[in-house]
Amino acid sequence: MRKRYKKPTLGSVKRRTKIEFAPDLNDTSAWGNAPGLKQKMAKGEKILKKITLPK
Amino acid sequence: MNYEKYDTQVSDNFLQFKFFSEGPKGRIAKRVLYQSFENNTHVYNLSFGDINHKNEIDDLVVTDNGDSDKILATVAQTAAEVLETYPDKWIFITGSTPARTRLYRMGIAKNLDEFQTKFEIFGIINKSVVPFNKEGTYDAYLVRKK
Repeated sequence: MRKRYKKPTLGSVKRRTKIEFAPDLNDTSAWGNAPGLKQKMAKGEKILKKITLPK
Repeated sequence: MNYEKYDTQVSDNFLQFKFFSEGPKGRIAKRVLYQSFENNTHVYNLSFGDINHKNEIDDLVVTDNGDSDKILATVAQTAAEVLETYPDKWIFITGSTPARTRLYRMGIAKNLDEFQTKFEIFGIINKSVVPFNKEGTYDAYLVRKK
């Protein structure tokens, strides 16, 4: 059965370094526009199309 | 992981991270971004690089700030956090250049014993997905939580 998504909290992830939420990182307007990023996503899609993910 | 890491900042959905590399070239903002593939929504692509003046990731830049082990360890830590948050997802990793893909292999190899306690790591070569081997040469890597 598919696991239900549960919104993470800072306390739900174990870590050894300091981590904090940064609201500016929620702005996704620049996602995918970076140099090389679109090509890299396309390269990934091409590779994934050829393979079967392990069970 | 045995290497020192940078403190990170994270977006609400735990898919975008920011930290600062510190070294001889100064304090340089880095971003790690996990994006779901259009046709493989259960696989996240890892993108990593400097943040440029347009607030975009530049994954082709060579910073040479003398802290590559610390940076790789920090990126690996973000991958661990993503997989802890989204345990049924895969992370797909490939370099923006063949040299970077090799660099990622070295980073994984250096920390393989610790990684393998929590994660399954595979290498992709041609059309095959095989368990990661330190000596192997791969086009890309896949990681999932055990």
